[in-house]
Amino acid sequence: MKIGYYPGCSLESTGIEYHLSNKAVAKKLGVELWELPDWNCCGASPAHQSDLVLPNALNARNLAIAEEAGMDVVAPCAACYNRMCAAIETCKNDPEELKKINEIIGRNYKASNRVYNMVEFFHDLVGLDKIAAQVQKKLSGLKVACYYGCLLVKPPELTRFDNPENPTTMDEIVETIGATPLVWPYKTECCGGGLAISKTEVILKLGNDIFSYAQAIGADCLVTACPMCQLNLELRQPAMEKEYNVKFNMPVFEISELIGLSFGLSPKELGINKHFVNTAPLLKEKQLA
Amino acid sequence: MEQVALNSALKSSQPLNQEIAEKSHVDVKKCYQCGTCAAGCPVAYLADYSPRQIVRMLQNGLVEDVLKSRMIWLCIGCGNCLSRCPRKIDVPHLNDTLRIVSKEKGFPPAEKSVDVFNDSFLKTVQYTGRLYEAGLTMLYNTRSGNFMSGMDVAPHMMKLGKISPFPHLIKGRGEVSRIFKKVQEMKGGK
Repeated sequence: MKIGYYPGCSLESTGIEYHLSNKAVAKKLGVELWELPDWNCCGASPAHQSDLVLPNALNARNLAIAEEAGMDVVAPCAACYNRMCAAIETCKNDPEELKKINEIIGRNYKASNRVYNMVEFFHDLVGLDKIAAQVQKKLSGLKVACYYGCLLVKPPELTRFDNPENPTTMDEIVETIGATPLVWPYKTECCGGGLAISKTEVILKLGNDIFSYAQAIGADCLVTACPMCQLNLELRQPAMEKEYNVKFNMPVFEISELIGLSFGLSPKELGINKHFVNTAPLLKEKQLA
Repeated sequence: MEQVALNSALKSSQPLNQEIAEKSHVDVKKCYQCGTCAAGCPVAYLADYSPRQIVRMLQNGLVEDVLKSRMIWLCIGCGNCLSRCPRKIDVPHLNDTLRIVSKEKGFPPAEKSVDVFNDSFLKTVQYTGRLYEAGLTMLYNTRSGNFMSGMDVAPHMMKLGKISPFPHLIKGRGEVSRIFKKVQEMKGGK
């Protein structure tokens, strides 16, 4: 299998472990992630909060690059994924708007391709059986709270993926690789990532809510499929702990990192040594590294 | 809140309400005020009005109050409200549209830091093709007056080699700049 791969800006910097582990795991699974040549930023929240046309135009350029090569796209960042879904939806349903967007981007995008998120890629395109076949070391004893975040599943009219209130696809992957997914109600609550810089107090509260519950049910870690959630929840964890006088020290993994560990790949190869929360003690305790 | 004359407010705000409805494709009249949106909103605790109140104010013609509100700037676009809305009212997109109209009409943003962040973010994309984190931090800190923003976490990020002091310039950055320019031109702007 070969599919277009749109890393998005975070995966080249703050989310590098997600990038490294996606590539290493895909290689093991025999999938070629074809990085879209010369892709641009999706515009993230600042674009759709500032203009009605700009976000769709920025995404249409990337989607057109993939379409010209006959490719669908997998977008690991939930925010990029959500914006690409929105652009496809507009381009498909509004021919006038598509015409305008093509004039703006100077290309001939037809909205004939689609975008997958990373969980969807592993769960639906690759399949749990193929993942199970590669598992060399079950992550036994690792208790995981699957944190989908908001943009992977909401709004359902746009993403059309899993269940917006109680998704289970990531839990199924976690089970397949031998870890234990926990039942909890914060799966799709927002972490506030978009306000991390401009309104930091929001993310301290939302993060504290999420980690407090995860800690209460005995989670060893969170697992996510979004570089924004991962960055926000790890980087600001010390500030949350200070603000609310608590101690979490809880790593937040990307789903591809855990799959990679179960495939017997080394933590370094997967970028697991690049976390803001030190992952070494947990991996040692669970004999995963 | 002071007393307002709703009949006259409804009448005088009609053109502005119409403009918002046309731009957002959101029909606020469909809302029957159940409040599910407000219950699930992660930022309502911090805002002046809940999403339900924003919609109610638009129904009653209090458009200027909405355009001056903090809520439209705090909305993070998580989609909780829309996902759960029994009337499928796209509140996140409504808030996006309200921000845009608010700026077009010259109202000062009620949450300046959010506006400055968005603007700084987009400037780096416009000129390099991708997000340039160090550039964003410099622009945001100097323009918002929060000079030390991010400085508590920057050393950790640098140490792990996660942010570069240099931008990643894509080959098609001219193409991306043109996208920004054309979008402005089509709006009849600069």
